[in-house]
Amino acid sequence: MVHTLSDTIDAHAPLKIVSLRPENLAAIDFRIMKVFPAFNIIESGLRDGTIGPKTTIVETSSGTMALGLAIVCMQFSLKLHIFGDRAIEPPLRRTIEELGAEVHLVEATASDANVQQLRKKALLDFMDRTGATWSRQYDNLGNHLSYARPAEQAIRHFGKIDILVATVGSGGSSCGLAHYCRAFFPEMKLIGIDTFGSVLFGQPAGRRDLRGLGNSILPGNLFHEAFDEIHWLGANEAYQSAQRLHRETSLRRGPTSGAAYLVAKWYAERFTKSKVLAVFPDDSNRYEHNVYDPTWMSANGYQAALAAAEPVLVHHPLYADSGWCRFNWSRRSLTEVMGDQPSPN
Amino acid sequence: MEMLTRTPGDGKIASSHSLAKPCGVATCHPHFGELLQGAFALEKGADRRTVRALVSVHMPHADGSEARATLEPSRIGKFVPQVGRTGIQVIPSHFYKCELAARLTLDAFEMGNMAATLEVRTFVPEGAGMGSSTSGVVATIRAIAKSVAAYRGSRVLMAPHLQAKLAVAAEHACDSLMFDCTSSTILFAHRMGKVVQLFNGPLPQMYILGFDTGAAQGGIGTDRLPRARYSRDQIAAFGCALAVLERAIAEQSVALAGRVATFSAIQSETALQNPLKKPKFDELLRIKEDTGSAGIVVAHSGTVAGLIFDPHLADLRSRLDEAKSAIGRLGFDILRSFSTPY
Repeated sequence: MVHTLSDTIDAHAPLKIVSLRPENLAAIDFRIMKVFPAFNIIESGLRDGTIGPKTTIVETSSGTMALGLAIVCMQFSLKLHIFGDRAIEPPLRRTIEELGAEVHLVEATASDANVQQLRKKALLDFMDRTGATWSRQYDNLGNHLSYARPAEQAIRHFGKIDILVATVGSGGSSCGLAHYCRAFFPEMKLIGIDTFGSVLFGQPAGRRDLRGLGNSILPGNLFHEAFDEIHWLGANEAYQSAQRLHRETSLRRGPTSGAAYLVAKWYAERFTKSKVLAVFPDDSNRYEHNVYDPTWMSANGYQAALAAAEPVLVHHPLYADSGWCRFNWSRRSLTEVMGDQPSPN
Repeated sequence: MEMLTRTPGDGKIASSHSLAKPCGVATCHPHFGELLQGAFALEKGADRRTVRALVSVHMPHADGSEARATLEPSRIGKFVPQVGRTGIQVIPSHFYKCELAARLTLDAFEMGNMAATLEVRTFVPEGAGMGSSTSGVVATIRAIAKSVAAYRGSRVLMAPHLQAKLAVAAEHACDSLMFDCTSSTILFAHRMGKVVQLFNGPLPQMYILGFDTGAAQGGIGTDRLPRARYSRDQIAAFGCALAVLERAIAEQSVALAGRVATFSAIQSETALQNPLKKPKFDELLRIKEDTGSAGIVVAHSGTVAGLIFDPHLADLRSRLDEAKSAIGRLGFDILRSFSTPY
C-alpha cells in the first residue's frame, strides 16, 4: 500500500529538474506540487495517531491543495471535505469529487479580499458539527518537511544552488525548500514572489486577480526572515509569462510557474555566474480556457504589450502597486520591514 | 585488501614462515572521524526504514593497527564466541573485541575447534574517534585469514563485506575501514555492517589539518556513548546530504565535500537527544571561515576534528599556518595533517 502510494505520488509529481536557457537556469517542475505536503501531513497524522482510519479530513483551498489532498485521501481511504471558493471551477470540482471528496464553495468571488476568512469560517462550522480533523496546510510544520525530498532531488541534478526563486502562498514550498538547501548552502538567496493585494509581505488585503500564489491571511509556515528579495507581480505579467514559458521551452504550465519563470530568468540573465532554480508548482490543466485562450485574455484586457518587462525597485512594500515590483527584504521580519518608514523615492 | 608482511627490522611484528606454527600478520589503517554520519530514511522495497550510517574519512597512509595471529592446532577444544571461552589468547588481554573477532573469523572458516594466539598493536589513541577499535578488529580478521591460508597452504580471500559482517558481530558497531576508499565511496550502516549506498567514485582529494578537542579529558569511551537521536527534520536533511555528497564526488569538489562535513558536524552538535558537543565549536567554525577551509570534519563518537582544505589552493601553506596557530590558541593539540582518500 505505502509502496503503491509513493508510486502514485511520483506519477503526479515526478520531481523532474529541467534545464532551461540561459544555461545557469533550471526549474523544479512539480506539476502537482501539493501532493507532497498533502501526503506528508496525512502520513504523519496517521503515524502519530491524530488521524485514524475513520477520520474525516477538512481543508480550505482554492485548488491545488484540494487536489493534492483528494489524491492522497483517496489512497488512504479517508473522507475529505474541501472548503473552497469559485476559483475551484467545475472541471476541477468534478476531478476532486470523482476522487471521493466533497467540495463546499463559499459565496464569494475568487478575488474577494476576505475569501480566506469566509472559507475558514465555513470549515470551522463544519468541524464543530462533525468533529472532523483539519489538515492545516498553512500552519502544519509537516508542510516544510515534505520539501526535503524535492530539495534533495534539485541538488542531485543541479548541484549547488545560488538563487532559489519561488512563488509564495502557504510558505511551505518556498521556506521548506530554502531550509533544506541552506543546510548546505546558507548563503543561497531566496527570492519570493507575491502578488498585489496579498498580505504575505506587508500589503493590505485587496482584490487579487492572480491566484495560486499570495494569501489573504498570514500562514504560520511563512518565515519572513528566510527571504532576501520579494517580487510582486500582477496577473497580466504572470499570464503572459506562462505563455512565454510555453513558447520558449514547450512546457505548458500554469501562471504561478509563469511567474517563477519570469523572475528566475531575470536573475539568471543578470547573474550569469549564479545557478538559479525556479519552482514550477502547477500544470496548465486549469488554465486552458482562460490564460491559454486568446479570446478570454483579450476580453479581460490582458495584453502582452501592457505587461511590465522589468521590475521596478521599491523601497517599501506599500509602494509596490502594479505591474512588476521588487523589494530588498534582506532576511528581516515582517515587523522590522513594516516599521521602516518608507522613504519618498 | 592490504596484507603487509613486516620484517623484524622496523620494530613491528614479524611474520613467520613455513615450519613454524601457521601464522599471519596483517594491518588496517585508521580513520579520522566521519565526513557524514546520521540517520537516513532509505527506501527498501515496500517500506521506508531509518538506518544509521556513516561515511568514514580514511587515513590510508597512517598506521592504525597491526595484528599477528598464530593458530594452535595442538590446542583443539570446544570454543564459543564469548570472552574468556574463545580459545584465543590475546595480548593485550583487554582487547576482547579482537579476541571475539578472531573466534568469529575462525568459526567462519569452519574451524570452530581451532585455538590461536593473537597479538594486536594499535597506533592511534583510544576514544579519539580514529578507529582504534575497528582497525584492531579488522587487522585481526585479516591476520586470522592469513594464518588460515598458511595452515591450509592455499589462498584465502576475505572480501570486505565479510570482514564487515565479522567486525560488526565482534563489536556491535564498526567503521568502514575494511573497504577500499580510493576507488569508490560508501555509505556504511555501522550497526548492521552493510553498505547501504555506493557512490560512483572516491571522495575528492582533501588535505586535512587534524587536531584533538578533548585530549585533556582522555578521550571518549565509545562503547558507553549513548546514541544520538535525530529529529524528523534532521533525518530529512540527511537525505539532502547524500545528494550534496553525490555531487561532490561527481564534480570531485572539495568545496561540496566540505559542506557535507560541516553539515554533519553541526547535526552531531545539535542532535535531538545525546548530541556530542565539541568544545569551542563556534570558534572552530569561525576559524574555518577565516582560513578559507572548505569544511570541518568531526569524530561523531570521539574527540578529534579537522579542517578540510583543497590541496590545490594556491596559498595552502599560509592558510594552514594561519589555521594551526588559531587552533593552537584555542588550546587544542594539532595531531597531524594528512591527505585523504589517497
